[in-house]
Amino acid sequence: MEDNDMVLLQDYLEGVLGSTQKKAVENRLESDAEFREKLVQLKLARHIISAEEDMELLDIMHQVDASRQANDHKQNDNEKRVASFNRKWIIATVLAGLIVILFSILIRLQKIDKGMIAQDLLIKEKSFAERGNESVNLDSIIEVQYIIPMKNIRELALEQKYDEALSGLDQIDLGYPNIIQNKEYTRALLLYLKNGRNDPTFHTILNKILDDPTHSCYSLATQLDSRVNNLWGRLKG
Amino acid sequence: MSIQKLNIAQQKVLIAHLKQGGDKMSESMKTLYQNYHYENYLDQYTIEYNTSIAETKDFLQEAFITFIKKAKKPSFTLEKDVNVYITSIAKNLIQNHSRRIKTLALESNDQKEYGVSEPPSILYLKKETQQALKEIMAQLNPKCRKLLRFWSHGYSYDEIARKLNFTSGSRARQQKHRCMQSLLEYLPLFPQLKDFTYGG
Repeated sequence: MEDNDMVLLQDYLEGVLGSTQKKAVENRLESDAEFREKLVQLKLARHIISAEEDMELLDIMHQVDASRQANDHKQNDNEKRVASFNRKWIIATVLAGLIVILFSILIRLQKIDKGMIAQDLLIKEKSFAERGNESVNLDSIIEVQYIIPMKNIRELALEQKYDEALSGLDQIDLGYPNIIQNKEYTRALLLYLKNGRNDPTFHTILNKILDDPTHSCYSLATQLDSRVNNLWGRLKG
Repeated sequence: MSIQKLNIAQQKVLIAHLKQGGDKMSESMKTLYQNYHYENYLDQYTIEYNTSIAETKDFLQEAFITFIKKAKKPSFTLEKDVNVYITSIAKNLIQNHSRRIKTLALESNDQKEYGVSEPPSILYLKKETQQALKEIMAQLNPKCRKLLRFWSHGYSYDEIARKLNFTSGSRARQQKHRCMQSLLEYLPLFPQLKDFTYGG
């Protein structure tokens, strides 16, 4: 059942009452506490209606904000993932580059520097040419003046003809650092073997040098034990 | 999810949906808010008005709420981009706030004590109050809720009657009185709303 007072007060709040009715309501509000309380209740109800509707809007805003945040997080995660992926690739590329450089250095260290030899050989080449010979191939000079004599030395060493091997070694007159170095190690090893020190390590090293005379024996020499170093020191002395 | 920027024609359709109420209204509010990138204004307003980022964010969000309420009113017509309305509301809110703070600083403590305090905005209501508001309105039937909302937006009873299929404006008015009364009947169940005031 409708409460007439409430209807009256709602009309009063909406401002639709005529002036006489409005005056009557205001007079009653001054004197009637219960009537006043009803007005307070109605005002409260209006506040509730207004606020509850805004609550719906607020809920929507929260949902959208949450979805935005989730998207931002997702985007950040993706960016981080891409950055980490890129970082990994950069590190891998740098490492690969370093490895390639390192290998090329090692390979270069292991090979006789043909460039250096070529430079020094120019003089010989020139003198050959002056003597009317045909132009000389660098590889054939190394073959004739170094590799073939070293192979002969190997044969002599196998036959334990150490003196002949040593004199063959003296006849190699290519004065390039790697060849000189190989010659010196070979000489040391031949002398060692000649003196009856039949150590398998020295055989191995000698064989390695003589198997591939173009191979720099620097890395082999660094592996030699202290006995060879001492021997080398004594020979130098 | 990327939201394409809405043109004025699209925004007008959304505003019309806002006025219709119901699901379309909720969808429109969502789309408009998705289109409102308040974070774009955060830094600018924080520096310009010397506020904190958190305060500026509250003002920008409150501006959106205020705009939606204005847009729901039958007299509102959209003439510019929605963001223009919202940002100008936000600027007003921030300026009024700074003015109020300056005035308070000039007043004596006694005056401050008896000064008129503004009812809280929806953004600052306690969680339990928010929950109670939802629950008390959920007690009403959906038609009552719709009716009270239209009435709260300032629709005439004739307009409400047309929207909600009442035979006449006076029927709508009678129904509104009933809905209001049933809302008041539920009030004792929610003592946390006893002294509730809302300035929204």
